[in-house]
Amino acid sequence: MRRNRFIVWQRFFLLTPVLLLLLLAFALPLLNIAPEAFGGHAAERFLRIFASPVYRTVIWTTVRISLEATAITLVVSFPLAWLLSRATGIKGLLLGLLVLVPFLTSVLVRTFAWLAILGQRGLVNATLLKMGLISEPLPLLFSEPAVVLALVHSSIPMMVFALVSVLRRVDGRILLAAHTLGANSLRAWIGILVPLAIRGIQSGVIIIFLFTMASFIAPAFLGNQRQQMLAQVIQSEIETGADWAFAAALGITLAVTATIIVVGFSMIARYLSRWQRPGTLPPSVPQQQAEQVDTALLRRPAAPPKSHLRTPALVRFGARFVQPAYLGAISVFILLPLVVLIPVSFSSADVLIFPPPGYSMRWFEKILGSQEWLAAALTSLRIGAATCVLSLVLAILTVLGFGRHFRFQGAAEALVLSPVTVPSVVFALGAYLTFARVGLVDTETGIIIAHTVLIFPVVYLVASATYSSIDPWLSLAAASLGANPWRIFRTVTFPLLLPGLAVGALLAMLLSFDESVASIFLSNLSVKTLPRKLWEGIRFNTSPESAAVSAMLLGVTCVVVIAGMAVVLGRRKNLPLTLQSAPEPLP
Amino acid sequence: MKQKSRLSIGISAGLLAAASVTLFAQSAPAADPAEVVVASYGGSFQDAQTKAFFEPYAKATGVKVTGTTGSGYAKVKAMEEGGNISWDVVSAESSAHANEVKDGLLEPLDYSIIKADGIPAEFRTKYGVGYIKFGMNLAWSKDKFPKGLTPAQFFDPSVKARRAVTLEPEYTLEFALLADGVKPAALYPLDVDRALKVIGRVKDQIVAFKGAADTQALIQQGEVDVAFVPNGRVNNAIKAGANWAYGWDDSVSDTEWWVVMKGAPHVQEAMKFINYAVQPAQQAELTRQIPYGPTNVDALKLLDPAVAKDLPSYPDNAKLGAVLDAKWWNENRDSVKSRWNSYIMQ
Repeated sequence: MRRNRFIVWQRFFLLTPVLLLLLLAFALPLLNIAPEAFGGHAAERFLRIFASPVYRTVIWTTVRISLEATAITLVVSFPLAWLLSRATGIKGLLLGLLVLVPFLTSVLVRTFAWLAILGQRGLVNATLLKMGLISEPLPLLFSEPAVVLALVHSSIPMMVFALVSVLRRVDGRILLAAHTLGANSLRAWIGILVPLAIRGIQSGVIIIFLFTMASFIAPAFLGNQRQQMLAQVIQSEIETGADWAFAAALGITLAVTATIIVVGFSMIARYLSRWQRPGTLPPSVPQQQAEQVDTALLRRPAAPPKSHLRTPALVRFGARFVQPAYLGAISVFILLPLVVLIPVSFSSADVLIFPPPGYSMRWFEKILGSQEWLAAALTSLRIGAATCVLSLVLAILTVLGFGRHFRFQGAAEALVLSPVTVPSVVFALGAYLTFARVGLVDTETGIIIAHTVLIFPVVYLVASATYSSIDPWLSLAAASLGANPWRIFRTVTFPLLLPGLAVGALLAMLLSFDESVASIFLSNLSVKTLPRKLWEGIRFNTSPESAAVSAMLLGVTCVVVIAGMAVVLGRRKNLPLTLQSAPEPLP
Repeated sequence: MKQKSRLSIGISAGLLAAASVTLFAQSAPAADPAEVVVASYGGSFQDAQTKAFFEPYAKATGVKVTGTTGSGYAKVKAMEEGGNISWDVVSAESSAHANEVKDGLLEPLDYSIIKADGIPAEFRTKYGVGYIKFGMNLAWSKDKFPKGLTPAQFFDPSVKARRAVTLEPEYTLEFALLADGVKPAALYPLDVDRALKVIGRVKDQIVAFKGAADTQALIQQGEVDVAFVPNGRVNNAIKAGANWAYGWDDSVSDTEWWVVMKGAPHVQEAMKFINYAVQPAQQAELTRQIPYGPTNVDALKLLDPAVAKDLPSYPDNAKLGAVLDAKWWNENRDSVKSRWNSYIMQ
């Protein structure tokens, strides 16, 4: 009894900082949007949005572009996720990197690269002109396909992550079984894999849809006035600190529209996956269905041999090349924008031209000699370091606070992870409105708080995965040998957590360093982070200077990913060594 | 167990304290030096303003000058209505200036601080000082149109080209009417229906309705073949290496004003900044950076006479175009702007 109460108190103290952060810096800002939007002349404000053909067009454009991007992302990512879920060894590592590196690269950088690819003098037009396929450059930029393309590119990693976790659990032999029963590959995929992965598809589609609904960087760089999206309008209202109430009303519109469509998705997914929960259906229905399915299966075997017999050689020949061709195409699509940045950043030209007419270091010299860029980099570093420390501390406290047996683990974890499920523009808007009241807008502190809210859940995930892999008996053994809790933490738990924390720290630094949305919203005149400066630079002048900054950011990402892999792999390699060397220090 | 709970309290408290120290150490405000925030349009015009006004003023007085972008009537209005005023001085086109005056969004200027006798009285109003004259001109890529381009060709759909015009209705409506044969004297009141019909002929070839800074970037990037842009911007694009030319036929000239936001955080500093910026030496320096005409007649004397040919006030240039009527825009902007916004998005 007494002991229980202690545990409760202990948990309470460990979890207090996290709860305070989530309450004050996450829940409060989000809740703050509503009174702002509905205060004063609320009716007039919403009338201004829904009665005006301009804003109605913007809402419809936002939904349309998001649906297009989500659908395309799902189709192109699904095979990649499947291959990744089956891959092992070096192939698995390479496929993992293919998804991870772009995921950790700033959205700003990834979007900017499309300017160098799709421009009148960009990669695609230069190649087609050279091959003689066209005589005039194609108008590729400032169009809906350009915006959708960039959004799909940004979304693929997230979609793959969502799908892989579900696809891993699928028994691969099920496809073999389908083949023996005569199903061709496409049929087996659509008939078996897709239904089995419906949960992953559901969460992936929702994540991507929310992400695309809230995007403003892609339409701002790659679209024209016909591709204006809601988040873009919100951002421009906030940038000048103009009409907060109106921005809040637009934010509510965005959130409500997104929620309605997400609920729709969930209903469709539930309908499609109803067979996964037969118990929830009324008892009479499954019987009928079962009968139908049975007879259908009985009738089927007559058909498949035909399809197999038609052009077996051609099908088999084609099938052998489908996978490499797909892998090649998707790799080029994912990596091209990143690779293109490097030659462009060494360009000797004044503007983005691909291929560059000559090479020079002038843009790097210009950046490294520029007070403004250096100051921005330092600001970003400071913010990154502070975010990293805060996120680590909070993640450790949360992991320890949840402990191993926490009755409300599921609910508590959902609470901790909630910042990553809210569209970042909506959070950034709420943070702006709230922070402005207490003078935190345009300060490093404000950005650090926002970054900690956004990034600490990721660090928590890494730390919690590591923590659950630690053998609980080690702590008990230490306790039975007389170590007090602090000593157990210091000498047992913490060292074992360290690799996970190191990876978490690297991730936190990187995510903060690359974070653009909150940075763009919460900085204005006096504090400029690197992404903020890059955002301004790209909007007013698409010179190779921005490419050089992007290439440097990309370089930082690659270094961090390599360092992270070294930590993970190094730990595995060193594990037996530390175990062997452990007894040595004993006298 | 007791120890353990004390430990966790200790850790939490310590970390909270550490966290708050990290956070608040950075936000500790130093004694603020005087500062002024100036809103303009970004790109090469703002670069020129930075070199001619912001930097030398900061150097001479120690005042921190922060340049920002996004100037426009809608933004000024929204900022005043929202009550979150972060700008002091704003650079405004005459239509924006007139509308801001009408809506009472501006601080009256303090002419005991702002001394500029060289500026004609018509440019020294209660709420604004007109500091430059600029033209909106038709410009084209010489690669695509080596023989040049007429305004009529700009609105001729058979002349295939990627076109860029202004984001706002001002200037482009005038340009369309002039190109369609309306005489400058008969331009106002604008026949908006006719103007939109003229623009409609080539609307599918207009790839960008953009602000001046964006349009200059598009020109340099080779994204557009023809554009309707401020004369200074295209001039600077050509200086930066773009193989472009521009003409004064059917150009629309206008005045750019310095105004101060009502309830601005640094009203006094704003007045002092404007006073500095309208002096002959600074005005002449701006024109050297970007060829917009100074309003201060004493500034013209400081300039190389050759520069004058690039300015909208040069008689040979002026007689080819029209002058924007701020009074008409003052009365009609709201209705025209909402029509324009839905027009360009369809």
